[in-house]
Amino acid sequence: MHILLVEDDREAARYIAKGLREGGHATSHAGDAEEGLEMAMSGGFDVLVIDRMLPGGDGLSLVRALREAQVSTPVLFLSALGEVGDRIRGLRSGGDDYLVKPFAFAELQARLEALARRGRSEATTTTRLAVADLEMDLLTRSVSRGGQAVDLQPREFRLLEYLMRHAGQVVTRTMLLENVWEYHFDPRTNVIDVQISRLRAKIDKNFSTSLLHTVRGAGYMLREEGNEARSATVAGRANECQDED
Amino acid sequence: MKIESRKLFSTSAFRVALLYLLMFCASVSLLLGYVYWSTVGYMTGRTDAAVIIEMEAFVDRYRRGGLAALVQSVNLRSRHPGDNIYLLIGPGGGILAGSLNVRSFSFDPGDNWIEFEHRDDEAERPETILGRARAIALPGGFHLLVGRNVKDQREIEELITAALAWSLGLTLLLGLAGGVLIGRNMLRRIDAINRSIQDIMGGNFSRRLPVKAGARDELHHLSIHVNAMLDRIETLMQGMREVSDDIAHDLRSPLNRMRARLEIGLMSQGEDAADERKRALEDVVAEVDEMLRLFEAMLAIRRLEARVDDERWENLDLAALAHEVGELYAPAAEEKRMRIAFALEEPLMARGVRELLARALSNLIENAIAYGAPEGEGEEGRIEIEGRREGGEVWLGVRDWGRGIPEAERERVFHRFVRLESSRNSDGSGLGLSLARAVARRHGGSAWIEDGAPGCRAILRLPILHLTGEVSPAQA
Repeated sequence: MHILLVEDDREAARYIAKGLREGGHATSHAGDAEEGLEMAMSGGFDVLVIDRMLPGGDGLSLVRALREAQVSTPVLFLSALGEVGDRIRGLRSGGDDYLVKPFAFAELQARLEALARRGRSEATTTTRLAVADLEMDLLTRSVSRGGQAVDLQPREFRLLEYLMRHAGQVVTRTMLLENVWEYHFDPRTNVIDVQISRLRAKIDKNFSTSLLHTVRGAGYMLREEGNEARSATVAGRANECQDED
Repeated sequence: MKIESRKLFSTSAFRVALLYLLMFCASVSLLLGYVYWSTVGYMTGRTDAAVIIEMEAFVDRYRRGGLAALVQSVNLRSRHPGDNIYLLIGPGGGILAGSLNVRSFSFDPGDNWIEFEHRDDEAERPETILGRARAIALPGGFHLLVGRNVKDQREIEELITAALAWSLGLTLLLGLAGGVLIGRNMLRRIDAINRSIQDIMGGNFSRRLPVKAGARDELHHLSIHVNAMLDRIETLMQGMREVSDDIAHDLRSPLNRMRARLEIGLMSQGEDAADERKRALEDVVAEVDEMLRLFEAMLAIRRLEARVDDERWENLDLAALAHEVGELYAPAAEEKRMRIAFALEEPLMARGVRELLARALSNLIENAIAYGAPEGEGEEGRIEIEGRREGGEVWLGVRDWGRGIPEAERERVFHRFVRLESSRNSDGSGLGLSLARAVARRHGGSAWIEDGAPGCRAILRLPILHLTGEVSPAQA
């Protein structure tokens, strides 16, 4: 995918751009808000990564201007400001995700892929989700695998729903905590790992193929066996995939 | 205490007193001037008017009867003159008739009013007369002089003048003394304040401005406010000093570990050197992440303490929130052979910031999981999340049945980076309880630890603040 990075800090920009290019993404860079706006308006990007503090204008105003001009390319904000209020301001101005510096590169990459995918597949109102023989009915709120009903608690249901909506993508612990539990702090205990292994016990335990995989150093991925090459990066990652236990 | 006079005159209190005094003196002078004018002026005016009327009567007599009639009239009146003075003076200065026992009288005819002194030593009771008279010239070089003895009047005038001068003098004196007194008193208090401030600037930060018990004036209130400000500054400074000490202390060990890890990576040689280096780098990244987490928690506490109002306040059901956080941790607790149970009154509505409260609660639960007693050996491995309403407050507690915390340490564990000796080796930053307390305080509440006998109970006390109002509890 083609990514526009608007970041004034040279060192940070170099690091992010290098990482993204190694991940197989074409990356363009703008050093200030004006240049960033111009490039973003010209279109052709799958996702925009915008620093909040920029010379020549706030990142928020940049995105507001873009949205006013009907440019709907997904935006991920990078910011050193991590308060709830900052996050809300970022999302209100038209951003789609908000990542607080410093961050792990895997986190950025996973979020960008999730955003780009959302940008492509738009919001279709589905009532059923399916990955291999795992099926979820959003209306009756029931889950089955291979025709066998799986009993999930409400939060487990939301967790699985999020994983299924992002099937084939890397989903980080922070993404799960933010989207399933709506918490933005980082618990010291490995709460998410334990929640995942409990979910895994329910959906994978009695089946020959497992669907819920751990991606080392990044997070988790719900994925159909043999359906690994959904994108170049995911394929690259899939080599590292290994099942827990 | 000796106060230099130069310093006294430059005090604003003294200057105000002095200004007030000057204005007061001016108005007193005006008042006294009026009194003087209306008494002395009135008396003189009356005398002069009477003299002029009498003079006109004589002139009338002269016109009708000539000089002889005038002499007769003067002589008649001079028999019982009282305070009146009459003199008919001849062309050579000799006296033709009159009330004064003199042979001659000279005066300057140009004067409108003639004032003179006369002493009659041949009278029965000799006394000095103070004359004020008017003279007119008659044809043939004669002069008629009519006047009054104004001695008594002058004495009254002098008395009044003296009285006025005295009162003005006394006013000045008393005012000046009052000014000095007020100025000195002010100066003494301000001197005391200045000495305290110098002491504080010199490094004695626990020193406070003197506050007099009796006085309830502006200076008193000012001192109280300055003292409150100093208290706040001292707390913040102490916090800052503690934090910088703690940072230096607590960050040294991870830095040492990282250094060692990197050195090992650098030293590695041979076939698996690349792998070894990669592992070293990964370990260092993990350590750095841990340090960043620490910084994040520290900044969060600092922001809470500084009350940076950038939070989302909403009406929350704390019971639902406690359930939610408890369930997030349930699998983690089960891994440690513990079970999270709930004892919550529902609902527990309060106004607060969901994110912060969830984080505070999760810190307490993490502690309970880390230090609680797992199932087995007579332990049931329980962690209980309790919540109830107490008056206008909500109490949220996390109870464990572990080893507990000695009473002497129960307050200290809330300080930043404080970790008990018994938990040195377990994973943790020593910031969890500090953060929980900062969150409770941000909500206008408090946090503490109670003995669970066995185990302990960490409690967050949160007031039910402004459930409907727009006012944020930051002002509470």
